[in-house]
Order: sequence, then C-alpha cells, then structure tokens
Amino acid sequence: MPDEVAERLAAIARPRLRPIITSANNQVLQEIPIPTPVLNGQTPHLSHQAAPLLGQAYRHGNEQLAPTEYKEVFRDPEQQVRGNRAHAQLQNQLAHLLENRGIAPKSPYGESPNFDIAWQVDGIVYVAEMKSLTRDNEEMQLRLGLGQVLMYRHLLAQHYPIVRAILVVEHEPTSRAWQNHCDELDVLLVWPQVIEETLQTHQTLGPLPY
Amino acid sequence: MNDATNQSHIWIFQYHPDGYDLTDFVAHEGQQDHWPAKHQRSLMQPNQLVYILRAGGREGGSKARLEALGRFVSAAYANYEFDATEPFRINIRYESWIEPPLDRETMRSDLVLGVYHPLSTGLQATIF
Repeated sequence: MPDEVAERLAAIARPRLRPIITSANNQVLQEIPIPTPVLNGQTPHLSHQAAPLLGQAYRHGNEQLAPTEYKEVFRDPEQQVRGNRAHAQLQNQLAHLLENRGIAPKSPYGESPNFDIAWQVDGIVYVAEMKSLTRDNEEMQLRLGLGQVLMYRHLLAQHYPIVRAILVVEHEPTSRAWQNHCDELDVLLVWPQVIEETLQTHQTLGPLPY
Repeated sequence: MNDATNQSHIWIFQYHPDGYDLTDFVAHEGQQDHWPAKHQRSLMQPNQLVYILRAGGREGGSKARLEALGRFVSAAYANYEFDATEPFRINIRYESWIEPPLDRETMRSDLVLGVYHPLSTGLQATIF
C-alpha cells in the first residue's frame, strides 16, 4: 500500500492494538511445510528429481553446416496479415477495457521499452504484451511474448517500484504448463474469454464495489 | 506516473467470511497460519507487517473491517502438494487484535484512508 496510507493506518490502529494471547501461542502448525525459497520467481528443483529430464550426454553442434542444409524461411503474407489483425484486436480489446474503467492506456514513447500497452493503478505499473496464436506458432509465440514482457517488466522496474507483467494471447494455451510457468514467474497470462475477470480479480483495473 | 515511488512494504490481506473465520482460527489453531501469495510475492519478506481485512461478505461491503495485525514469518514458498492450483504460500503470525475493529465507515470517512480503494470501497482480491 502507499506510504501515506500505511502511516495513517498505523496512527489509527495503534491505540486499538491488543496482543493476541492464546493457549496455543507457542504452537507451530504441523501442516505448515518447510518453506522452499522462491528465487527470482522460480522454485528451485531438486537435482534428483530433475535428472531424468536432463537428457543424455551433450551433442556438439555442427558449426560447419553445408549451404544445402540451411533452411529458407518464407513468411506467408496471409498468415502475417491474420496475425497482425489478431494482435491489433487483442490490443484494442484491452485498451477499451481500460478506458471503460477510466484508466488511460499508454503506448511506448521516447525511451520507453517497446511494450504494447502499459497503465497504472494505485501506484502499480502494469505492462502488457499481446501475442496472436495459431496451431503452428503457439509455442514460439508464447516463448517470444513471455521473454518480451519479462524484459519490459525488468526495464520499467528500474524506474517504478512495483511493475506487474501481463501476457495477453489469442486463446488459452494448449499446454497447461504455460499457465504454471507464468504463475511461477509472477506473470498474468490471459486471453479474451477471461481477460476482464482475471484482470479484475488481480485488481489491475481499479476499484469494484465489494 | 510519479506516484508509484511511494509504496510501502506493509500489506493488507483480505479474507471472505464464508471461507475463513480469523477469531475461530486463532482460538482453535493458534497464531500462525499460511495464506496464498499469488502475486507480488517476490516483494514479501519476513517481518513485514500485514493487516488482516475481513470482507463484508453476505452482510455487505459496508461491514468490512480490519481485524488484526500480523507479521510475515517466512518468505513466499511453493507447496504444490497443499494446493496445486494456488501453490504459492506465505506464513503469517497474528500478533494483535484491532479492538474495536476498524470498520469501513471509519475508514471511508478518513481523509487518507477514504481515497484508498481497498479500504474505502473494497476490492475483490486478497492482497493489497
């Protein structure tokens, strides 16, 4: 909470504080686990659990690929148009959602990171990256979008004390692992069907009578 | 966007009375419990203070009240066995009752607290 609220709250609450005294004061709940530290938003994995997933002995990459082994990549113009349109639709949906709540969406300007939309509510900065998805590019788009929004959060956090990252995608990812991974990294993952409810639940849209 | 520079590390955790009863918990289980720490958890550190806000629930938002003051006694940690859908938790030790509780009307009428939405109007969330 903001400093001035904390100070005011302390001033009002202090005269009302009464120490909690119970017969169980020294009790330690058995069901509370030994905390596993969360480092940089990730839970460390135990080596004996991860070992089977680490594969086999390293295979050296071929640094001398022959010209015939290069693959040329062509972009399908129709797919590109579809992707750009979906991206714009996601971006406009979020912008309208914000504007309807009286929040001004921001676009990058000057030295800003190249985010899609950012905004601020109650002193917290939110930065969002949009990604269109198709069956063929879903994995790559999610990797790209997550990397981008993590970098934008990092860059904005140099200037603002609390910055939250949001990845907006065209539909629910096929693999549940993406939701879990984003949770671990403290990144909100949303898509059109859940965007309003999720953002409201995480108080990114300001007040709602409760 | 300059007002983002004045955030404290004192927290408000809110519970819904349909799912939890702080007085009953303390009476039967003691002063230490663990709460979900879904977001902003990287900012939560041991010894930081946390106010416990009871939402109005079925009685209505006007019945919301700050009931207690506690303290984090751990950093956030993951416990997938406890709840795979909400695995991140933080341990809190309840230290003091706020008596009488600070009710919404009092908070709403205060010049400072009255413009802070989680306290003045309420938000459907658990961590502020």
